[in-house]
Amino acid sequence: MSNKSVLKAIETSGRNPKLKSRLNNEQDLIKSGKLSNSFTGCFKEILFNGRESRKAVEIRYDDCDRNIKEVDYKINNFYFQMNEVLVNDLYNYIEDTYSDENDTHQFLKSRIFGLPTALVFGGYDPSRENLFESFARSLSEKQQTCVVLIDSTTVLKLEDLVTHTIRYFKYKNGSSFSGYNHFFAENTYNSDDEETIKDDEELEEDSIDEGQSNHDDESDDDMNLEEESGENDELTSLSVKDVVDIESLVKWYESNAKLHGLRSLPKLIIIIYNFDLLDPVIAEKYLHILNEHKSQIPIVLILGISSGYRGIDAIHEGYSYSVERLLRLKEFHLSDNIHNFDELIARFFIKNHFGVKVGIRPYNFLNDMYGRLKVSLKYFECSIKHVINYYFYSNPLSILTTIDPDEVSSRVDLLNKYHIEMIRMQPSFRRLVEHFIDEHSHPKVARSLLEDDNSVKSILPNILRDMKNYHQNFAVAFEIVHNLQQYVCDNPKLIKAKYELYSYALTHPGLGEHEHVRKLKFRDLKQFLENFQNVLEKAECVNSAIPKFFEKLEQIGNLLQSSIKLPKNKKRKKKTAILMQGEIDSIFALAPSSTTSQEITDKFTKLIDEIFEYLQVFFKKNLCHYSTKTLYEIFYWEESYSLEGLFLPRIRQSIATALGRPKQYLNYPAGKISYTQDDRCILYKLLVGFGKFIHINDWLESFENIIKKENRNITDDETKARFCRAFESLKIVGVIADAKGKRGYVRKMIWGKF
Amino acid sequence: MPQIRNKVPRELKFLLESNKKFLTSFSAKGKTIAERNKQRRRGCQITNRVKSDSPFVVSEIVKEPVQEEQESVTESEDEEMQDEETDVVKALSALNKEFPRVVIPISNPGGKASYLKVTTRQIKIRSEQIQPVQENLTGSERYFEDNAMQTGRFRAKKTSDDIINLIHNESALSPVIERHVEEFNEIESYITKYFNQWEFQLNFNQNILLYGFGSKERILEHYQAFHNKSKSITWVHFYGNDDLITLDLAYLTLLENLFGPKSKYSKFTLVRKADLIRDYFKTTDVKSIFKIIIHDINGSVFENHEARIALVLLSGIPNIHLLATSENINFFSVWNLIEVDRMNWHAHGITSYGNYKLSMANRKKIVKTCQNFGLEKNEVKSVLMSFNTHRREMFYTLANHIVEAKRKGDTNWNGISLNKFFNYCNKNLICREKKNFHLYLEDYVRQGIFISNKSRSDEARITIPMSFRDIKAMLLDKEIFGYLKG
Repeated sequence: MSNKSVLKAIETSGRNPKLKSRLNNEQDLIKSGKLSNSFTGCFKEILFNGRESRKAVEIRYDDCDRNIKEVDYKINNFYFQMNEVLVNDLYNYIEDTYSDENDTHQFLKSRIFGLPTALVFGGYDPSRENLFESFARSLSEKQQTCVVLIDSTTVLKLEDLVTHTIRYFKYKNGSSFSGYNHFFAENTYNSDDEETIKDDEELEEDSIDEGQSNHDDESDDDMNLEEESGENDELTSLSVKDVVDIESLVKWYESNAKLHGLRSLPKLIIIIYNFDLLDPVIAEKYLHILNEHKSQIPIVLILGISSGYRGIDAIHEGYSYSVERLLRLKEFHLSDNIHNFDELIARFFIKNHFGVKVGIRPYNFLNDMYGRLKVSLKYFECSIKHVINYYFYSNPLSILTTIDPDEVSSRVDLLNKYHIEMIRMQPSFRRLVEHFIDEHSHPKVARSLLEDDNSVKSILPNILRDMKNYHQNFAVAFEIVHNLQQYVCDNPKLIKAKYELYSYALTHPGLGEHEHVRKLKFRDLKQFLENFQNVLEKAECVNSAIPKFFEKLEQIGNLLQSSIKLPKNKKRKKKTAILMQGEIDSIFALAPSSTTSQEITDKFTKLIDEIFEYLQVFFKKNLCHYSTKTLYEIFYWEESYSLEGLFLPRIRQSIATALGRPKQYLNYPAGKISYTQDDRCILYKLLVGFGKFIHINDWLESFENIIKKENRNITDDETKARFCRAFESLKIVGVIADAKGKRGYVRKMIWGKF
Repeated sequence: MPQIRNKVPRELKFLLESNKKFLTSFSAKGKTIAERNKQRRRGCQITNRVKSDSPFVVSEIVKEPVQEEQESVTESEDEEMQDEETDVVKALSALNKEFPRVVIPISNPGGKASYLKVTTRQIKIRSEQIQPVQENLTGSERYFEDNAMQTGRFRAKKTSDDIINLIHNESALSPVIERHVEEFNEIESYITKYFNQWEFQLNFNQNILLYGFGSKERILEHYQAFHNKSKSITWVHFYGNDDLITLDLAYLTLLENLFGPKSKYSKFTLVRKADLIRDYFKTTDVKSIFKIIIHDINGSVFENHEARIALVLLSGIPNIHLLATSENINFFSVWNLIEVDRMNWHAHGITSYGNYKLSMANRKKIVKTCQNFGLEKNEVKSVLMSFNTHRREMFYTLANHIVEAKRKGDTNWNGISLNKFFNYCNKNLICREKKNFHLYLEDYVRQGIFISNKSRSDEARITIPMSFRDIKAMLLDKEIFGYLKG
């Protein structure tokens, strides 16, 4: 009856879009839904062609918001958390600088070294700027500092650098950050701009003491004050308001130092991230300026470097020795990408017991995004958010997933017959029904599942709990496998990172049956078992396994004690637990000497085999592939096409397809080059026959030949006009370009198969 | 096909026989060098003529001097053979692939006929049109061959110029009838279904990048119409193919929208303006939404670093929605990776097949690029490789001269006067006659490799429109000039 409509609804809901044509490449998010308000960002689409209950819709959207916030929570400060050690080191470094001298006004001058500079190395990831931002924030909370945060991609001139410095300084010291509001309220902005421009040119030279006003968004009152400040009495301190350029900044420090002592003044921490993107010419001048004032201002430089050059090489690369000697360098290293990605995977997929999970293809996509193509946390975040959004927006069953199974009954009540039908459509549910018929021979149960909505509702909490348990057990077993590796792999290269293991877990047979896990053999058995026990204890869910392991552990302990007396026998279990002295000798003695030792060895081997078998079963059970679980479809997002379309657009390919195979888009008759096609497509296809340089006339002739097949009476002018139009379109698209020096020729810009 | 095949052997036999005849009669003719030279020249002319009729003859196996007799006989028998000959041509063009052709190199740059020496035979299997023996012809021997090529080229040049002029004359394009209108409309209406999705993403502070073939203007117009009911939206357009001043004005209007008309920020730089806008949204809580449509994000304006940075600054503001279109196949040609990363793009492929409007701004750019004479090394190289060694050497001579003159500190180092150049060429045995020299020169000038500049004294000077470094690099290219050193 309504089956058909439900089926339709499932199809349109875009859970598993089968791509009928290239045009369908986007998620069919809004197909037939009723949209309430498209501007406020709250689309409330009612699925099942509007037959979803209101309440369910609202819950769905609430869940979505909650999940998105969770992502924000996990991503926020991610780098900061990952690099806590480094951050602490940096704190200490900043604290230690300028602290070894006496608290006199002169202490800065006694330094013979250059500016204290921390080089912070990390892989290329533009999102790292968050780290520096949060570092700056926490720094200004912790210590008395004035942090200047500079993004070098926005720096075009030296003026920008200086302006940033002053602005941050003023902001940190109480003045409003930008002051734009009051700036615009004032109408007394006069000829300052011209002065500023003039000053910039002077600045170009090098001079530091010129007293330029680089900060042009200050009012002219500041200018006057600055002039006065030059004649200020040494005893009165300069107010923060009067700081308009480097010169006045220096004066501020000087006057305040005389009053309160330099130590009480904030250190000027200048953080430049993406330092390697900064134009060396600008940076050089800036460093010279800073160097000039190092005796008056306590400056600490923190330079974020993302290039492959490490250590001093990063500076060598763009700067001469004369600049380098101005800096006193210290290196810091950020955590590496693999480590970061492992942590991300653990946060989002492994430890997260009831949330949206991804299948292997989206996972590979995320892996590529973070690990190889973009190396960017931001893209990872965007992709995850995209998955979550579309999951909740297109899947009416999503109300069941991100909630604790104990509370699920309230949600189950919201399900209507369309939901139930959708559940019945899922292959895994059908498998369950068949299971009831084939193996348990309960055809009645199977029948009621198919016909009675209530029986489906009653079984749902169990299924969901089962899923949750699976996820919990999976997390534990996964952790064990990850830990086990270091005890069993002789070659450290064979130890896999979490993200690799997780990708095995997502591919079909699952991690439990992956050969990497099967190959695992024991080395430090005792240590491992202890570790294992710890993990199990931590994870309360697998309580049932614990007693058995206590038992095993005790047995091992006993055996070990006895084997210590007979060290020779331990070699049977390969590299056994605790390496005792004298054990090395025993490794070579293959045959057990005494009968007693023989017994113990046998026992030991048996025990080892038992444990090994147990583990294999344990892994097989807990690390099975997710697709073996009933209703996995509503938990796992398995489609990656929309992600790829959004974040890795194939611009070139799409244009080439549009031109080369218009049939995909328009209903042209199939075939090679034919006059029925669009002019641009004809021209494009004709390109195949030409070399790098194409004579326009030749091209026109071939074009004419094809066009004339349609209509012999076509005039030359029309042919030419059509040719020109198509020609120009191809040029705009970039398929061809001017062959600069060669008149009458164009250059082909696209090669290969097209 | 089989019929033709049957015919061929008969023809071949005949030609072989006629060749034998010449071989025997050869010794009787051309006793002195001068005579032979004369004959050869005559023969050459005939060769060219015959060549155009029957490509087979040239490719016959003969010693060089024999050529003329062969030709003359062909000439004499031309009339009776006419019918059959056309068949031969057909047959041969059909059989071209299988038939090995023998090309005789004539190696006598000094003009000394070396017919006593048996020339080495090069067997070249060619599938395309039969090429005349041009590689090793020198002096006047090249006359016909050169001329034949030129007439073709002149014609070609004319039409291509026509076309270029036509492109710049919009009215000429008007007679084109729109085809496939229905299909295009269908596609368009399909795309409009996605407007809600775009809106959704824009509200999540992600910007939309539209790519795919076809003009997106109409779709964007639809999009604007779609949202026109809402008054809280202000539409701003950035044109990638316009100049920086227009972009600056767009920013200015944006600022004026926020702060009201004030003159003081008109002097700000682009980045400063963007910064100001960003700070405004940071500090104040506004509900109004700005939708900025960027027409062609790969346009020439965004080659400017400042323009890109300013846009990046705007991209992070939740109240500003960016919709950009990308027309070019090379998206990353203008934007660097970090900038793209910050832009938060969500890409949507919309292939509309819409006709591009050939805007004035774009045309200006086309004209400009057409006038850009800066040559690229690989371009020159590809042209030089297509020339024979003599012509190539001409480039070498000039380039060498330029390098030498620069070294000596000559003020006019980058050019050479025509006479001097001819003398050089003559000295280097590139061309012995002024006529050839001009022919060669014309080839170069047509390809744009040489440019003639008139100095104040009305003396034409020839230069190469390349940077000095590139010229030097060309000289060292072994692939092109390696044979000179070897």
